[in-house]
Amino acid sequence: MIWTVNDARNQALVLPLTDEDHAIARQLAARQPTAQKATQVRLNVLAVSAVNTYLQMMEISTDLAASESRSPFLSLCGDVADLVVTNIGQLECRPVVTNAQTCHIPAEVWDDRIGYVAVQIDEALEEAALVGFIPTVEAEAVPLHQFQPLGALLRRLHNLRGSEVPPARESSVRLSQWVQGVFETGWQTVEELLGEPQIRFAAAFRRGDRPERGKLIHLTTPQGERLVILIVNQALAIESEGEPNSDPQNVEIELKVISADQQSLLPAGLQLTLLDESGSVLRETEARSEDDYLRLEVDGHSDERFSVRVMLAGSSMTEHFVI
Amino acid sequence: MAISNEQQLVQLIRQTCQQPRGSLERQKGLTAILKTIQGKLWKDSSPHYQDALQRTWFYFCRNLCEATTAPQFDPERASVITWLNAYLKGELTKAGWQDGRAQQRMAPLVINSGGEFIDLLDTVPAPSDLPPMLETTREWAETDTSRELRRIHLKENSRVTCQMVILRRLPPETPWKVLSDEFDVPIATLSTFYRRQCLPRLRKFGEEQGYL
Repeated sequence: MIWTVNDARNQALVLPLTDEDHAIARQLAARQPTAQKATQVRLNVLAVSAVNTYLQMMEISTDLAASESRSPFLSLCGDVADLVVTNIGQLECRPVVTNAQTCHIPAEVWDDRIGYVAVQIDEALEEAALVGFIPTVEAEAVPLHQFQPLGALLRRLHNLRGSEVPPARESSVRLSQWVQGVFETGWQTVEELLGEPQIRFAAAFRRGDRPERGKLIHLTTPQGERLVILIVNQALAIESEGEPNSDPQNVEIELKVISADQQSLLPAGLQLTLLDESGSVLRETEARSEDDYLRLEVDGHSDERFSVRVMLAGSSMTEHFVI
Repeated sequence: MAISNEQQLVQLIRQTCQQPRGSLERQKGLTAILKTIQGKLWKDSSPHYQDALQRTWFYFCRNLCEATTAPQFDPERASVITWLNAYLKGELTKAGWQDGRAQQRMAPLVINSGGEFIDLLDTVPAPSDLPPMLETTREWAETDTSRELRRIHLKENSRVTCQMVILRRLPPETPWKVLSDEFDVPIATLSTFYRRQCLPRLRKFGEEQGYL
């Protein structure tokens, strides 16, 4: 049977390409030295975004920042369209032109991949059709009819992950334990994170009994790696000297983001977002060109959950908390 | 799996939601439902349509079986299409309100006779303060101060050195097929050599230059 485009699209899942997908693709394309390379990168990045959207919809976690396709230099060194699937490996997402019968899979991505997804992108660049999946390739031109339905991709990801069942909820930081001096991995004092003696000195003047910890956050943007520190500072609404932990009912929490490099301001456009348990945005603030910190406050009572997202140019980190 | 009527769709939704969240069967079910209903939702020419549609698909995946970001889908109250159209139209209306900002035009692509995409939009040139990555990399490979790139070669053919492969694969990329014919080495051998021997050295150089 000869496959036509219609057949390919019948088994395909068609997903929209958003303004943000386009903005990132354009930014990364602009870093390439030739028009031909820029077009290649633009399509590769769009294909990766579409597959990333699908995996996010399926609640399969990915790591865009660790993907070679997000690095202008590695994209210069090869025709790469990979998406890192967290703890599993690199999934190659190859763009296919509208009327093509084959998918081009360049030899530099034949090894070290968990498989290949063919992504047909329409000429208006509005939609991306996930045509199918193939685990291995032996030629640069693979006929589209050899691609299996997306269920094969899902099965492969499950097999590679083994019997491990994904947790229903990502682990949360328990703020109530902070009061007792128990801190999760990665949460250190701001002084430790900055490693600056003058800050250590200044810290002595802070009020006691206010557990404050910070975490280093890596954001990989098309402009390069940015390091910021998310600081969480909590205080009981009614502080009494003698029994700081007597009434955990109302807690006041201050969220702050500062640059990890004390000499520099925050990158403009950096967003700090407070989300409720369901992921809806409660409050948001964004750094302008001259800001050296971002700050939000949240009031809550024990066992209440919230999340904090730090985002820059499409790269984001979300931390979950239980009061 | 072909779904031909509403009844079958309702049944597929019920079966899918019986599977544990995050399980392979749940994911396959959601994918099958998505394929069935795609193209059946409200469509208009709003510049925000694609963004609103993506939010609608997330809304679908998160709330079909459990209330995650909104109340759970209730098949007694509406069909899945009606449920999603209500959300999609709401998102489009919201986006319309915030329409103050200028829309970035999407550049069309055309396909040339060789079957390749050609970008009609002149690609935005890289800002001039950026280091000329390609030139710097090419110069590094050509100079090869430590002579390492010239020394490392393919067992099958000593003419295939790291230096040669790196230089020929930098833009404008020489097709692997051309290199394979020229040096009489299978494409897979060349590409494995590239990933195992050339790429780690390129990465090291990239790190030193601050490109990575």
